[in-house]
Amino acid sequence: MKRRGTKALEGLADDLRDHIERQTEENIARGMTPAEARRQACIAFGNPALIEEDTSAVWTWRWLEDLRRDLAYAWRSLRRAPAFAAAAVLTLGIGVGAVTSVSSIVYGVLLRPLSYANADRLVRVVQIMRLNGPEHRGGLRPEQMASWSVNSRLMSAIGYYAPQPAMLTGVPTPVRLMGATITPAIFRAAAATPVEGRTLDDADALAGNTQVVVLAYRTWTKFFASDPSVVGRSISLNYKPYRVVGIMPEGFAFPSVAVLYPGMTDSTGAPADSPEFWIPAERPTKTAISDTGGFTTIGNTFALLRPGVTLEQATAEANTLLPVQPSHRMQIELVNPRVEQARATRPLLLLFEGAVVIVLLIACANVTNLLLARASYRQRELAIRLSLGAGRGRLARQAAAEGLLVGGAGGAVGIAATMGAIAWFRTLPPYLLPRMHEIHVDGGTLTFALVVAVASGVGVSIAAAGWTFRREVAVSLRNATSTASTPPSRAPLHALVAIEVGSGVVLFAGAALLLSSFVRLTSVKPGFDARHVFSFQVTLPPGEYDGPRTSIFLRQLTTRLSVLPHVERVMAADSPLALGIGWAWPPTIDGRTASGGVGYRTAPAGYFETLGIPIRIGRSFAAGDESATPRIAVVNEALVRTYWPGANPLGHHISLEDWKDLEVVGVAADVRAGRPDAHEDAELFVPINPNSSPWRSPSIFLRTDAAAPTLGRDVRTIVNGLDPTLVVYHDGLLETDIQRTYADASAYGVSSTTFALVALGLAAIGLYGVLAFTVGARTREIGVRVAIGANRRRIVWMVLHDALGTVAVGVVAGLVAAWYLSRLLQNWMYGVTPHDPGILAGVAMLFLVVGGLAAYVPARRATRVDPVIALRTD
Amino acid sequence: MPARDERERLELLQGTLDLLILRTLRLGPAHGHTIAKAIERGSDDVLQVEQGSLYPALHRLIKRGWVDFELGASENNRRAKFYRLTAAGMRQLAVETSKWDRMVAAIARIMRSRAAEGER
Repeated sequence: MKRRGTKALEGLADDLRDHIERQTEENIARGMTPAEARRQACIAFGNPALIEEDTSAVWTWRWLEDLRRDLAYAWRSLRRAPAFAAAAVLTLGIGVGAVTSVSSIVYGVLLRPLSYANADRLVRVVQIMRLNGPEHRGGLRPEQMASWSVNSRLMSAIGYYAPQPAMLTGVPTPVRLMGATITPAIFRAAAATPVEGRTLDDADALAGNTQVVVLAYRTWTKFFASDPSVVGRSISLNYKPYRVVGIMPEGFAFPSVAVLYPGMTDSTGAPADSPEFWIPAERPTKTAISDTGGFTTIGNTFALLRPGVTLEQATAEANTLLPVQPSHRMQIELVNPRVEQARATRPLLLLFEGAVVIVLLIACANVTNLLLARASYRQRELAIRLSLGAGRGRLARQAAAEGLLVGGAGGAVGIAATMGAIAWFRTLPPYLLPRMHEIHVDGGTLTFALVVAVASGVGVSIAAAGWTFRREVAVSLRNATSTASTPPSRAPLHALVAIEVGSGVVLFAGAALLLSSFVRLTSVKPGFDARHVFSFQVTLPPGEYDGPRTSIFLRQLTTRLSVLPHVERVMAADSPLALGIGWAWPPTIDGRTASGGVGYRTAPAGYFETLGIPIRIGRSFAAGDESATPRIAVVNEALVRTYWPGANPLGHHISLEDWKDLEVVGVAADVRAGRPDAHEDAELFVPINPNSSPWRSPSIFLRTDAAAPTLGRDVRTIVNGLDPTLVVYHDGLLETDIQRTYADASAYGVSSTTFALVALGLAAIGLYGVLAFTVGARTREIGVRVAIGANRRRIVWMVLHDALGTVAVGVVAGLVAAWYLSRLLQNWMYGVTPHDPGILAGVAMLFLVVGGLAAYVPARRATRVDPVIALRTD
Repeated sequence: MPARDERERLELLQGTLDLLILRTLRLGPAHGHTIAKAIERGSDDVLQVEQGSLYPALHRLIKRGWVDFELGASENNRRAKFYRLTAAGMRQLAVETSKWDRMVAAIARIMRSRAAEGER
């Protein structure tokens, strides 16, 4: 088509000329003079140029041609002003990036429909129990669940779910999976259509039927190579056969494990966010039942409402139907998981969303300022174009084209920033926000970013253009020597910059406080030498490993492990090093009951040496201590400080629960495993021997003298060399675990710092834009001043005076706000007071300096105003 | 030459001009000017072709494949295009003609019946 058009348009001028010639001839034939004939012919014909345009327009879309030309022009003019272009693109990019990132997160957490079916009818049952003390929240008790299932009219199913770890063997690499035990009816209610096979039937849960399992998509692809024939086959979970009956589709996740159990990890070693398999269960298993403050309930009870039943109706039925313990006060509450997940985080997320929208608006205001500043340098060009007859619409379209380019580039910057932000966000532990695993950058995100960027760019350009018109038309078309045009009121622009500076100060102060708190947090020594301690866990299947076999296995294992290169010590313990103690009980000190709580740990010989816990007084454990009489124990410093302050505890006696009359033989240093801001707990260490009772899932600790990157592989080789069906899991360095406990503090630190830097950048660009604009507007005034003899330095001072005045106002306002607002951060601060004068002063200084720098360029430009040129600018 | 009476110029709608051009070209290929004159003479000077709209109309017809062009030399060796009807254009002309006839007949029916009423 285009070629045809080009061919047809070739020689169009000739065609038109020919037409006129013929008409001329005709007119001559009618009796006109040649000159008159030609004149009449031309009149009758019309404007050839216009006709040429109209004809070519037949072959193209006019507006497309215009757009292309506008864009080319805009590109050229932007290239001539690189500083402006960079500042505008960056500003817009920041605004767009912020809005897009937060919006993706808000969408992923709050708005996107949950990835399982019936999300509005499937509810979690929470039982609130109060007995002369704080509230405990748990699920239903087994008898309550049974009774409700039978008698309910409003619920179509009641069931529960519990996390279920299982060793998967019989595959090339045996691995530990984290799945779920779930009531079939509940699973069916939530499930999507399986990719292969079926979901769970009620019959599957009956005792006596073959045990079945439904696999998650990820499990199927990773360990079974997406082989459809695995359905119907048996796989080995926890050394028992399970028949695979179905595969769930990709992305299906019910329920979310990590939100409910922060410590659970899946086969990848990362915190689990969705089950890797589902097995049916009717009778609650041991892991399902939990002890909440002494009340035994099934932890996660779910129910399915019949269609049309409301939450209130169901709650009422639960409260009336279920047997309630007479001595407790109970209350059944049905909680919709979607609402519950959102409720906790909604206010925070909406706050963030509001904040970034404000950031975007500030960014747009900044770009508008920059555009206005630039426009004041293009006054002449604008005047000429106006006087040549360029319509307002045409000039607006030109401005829009520029805005399109800036918006497009800003969008690209924003997208890059968003990708970085989301990537960082996904490294955070999943229990910070629900559904974090569902947040990612996709086509929708990119479209959103581009639309926002282009809309902002175009909108801002047209607004700036409109503003400039109103001034310029009047000013530039005046012929007489005009008085210095009154610049538009600068107060609102300066107020805007002051607000930017103020909010920047607040954000920066907050970020600085959080950061310094984080630094202090991480610099506190954990109390033991956690470097180069590698640990892992294995589960010994109960059917095959009894007491003697377990101790033989552990002995062989530790022997073989100790000959690995770099290994200094090896220790087998009965549980992983829990960061923080569990329960605490009041001890009996030297026969007298005391108050407070003491926790205990069972520690094998070599415990303290392997973990690098120094012994302050006395000795640690040696082999055989567990059967020593009198029974002995080691205590930690915190315990000594509480119960034997200032005295030597060696030889004293302590009893705790089942351990009676232990003699203290040593004092160990406090282990601040976990957060240093956590309370220091008094601990008792009791010697233990693996032969006493077989350890089901022993943890092995190795201390190396240097980094040993191949340790994981070597360990697996040795373990599988002893028994190829065993699975090694939870393997890794202790340091990594400890770092992970700081994850939320570091997240707050990083995100608040980013916000603060963004605010600083925006404020600086904003200031620069405003000053450039006002200097440009006052060019004539400056020229006049210079012409009548003003010192260059006074000019600079005039500009700086403007700048620093605005910044100072902003800084003061910001400091006042920071003073009040920093109290909100109290909960997250460690070792720092909210009113730390050093930090506040530092932030104030920073903004003043940055303000000065931002003012530098316009100030210099002011001094270079040539009075002759300035006076001529009319 | 006294100006033509403006009021007598019936403004030709875009579609109608295209139809007239096709009809004119049915008689044989022609230059642009010739087509315009043919329309005017063919209508006894009732229809005046707005010359500014002739060439865009011709190009529209070329774009839709109903008219084709050749470069030719005219009598005085001026270079100008010859426009002619294509086979598709011939078919389109038949379609448009029948549409036109139907429309004219319908309007005439209404006008005549109205006139009859008005006389009563």
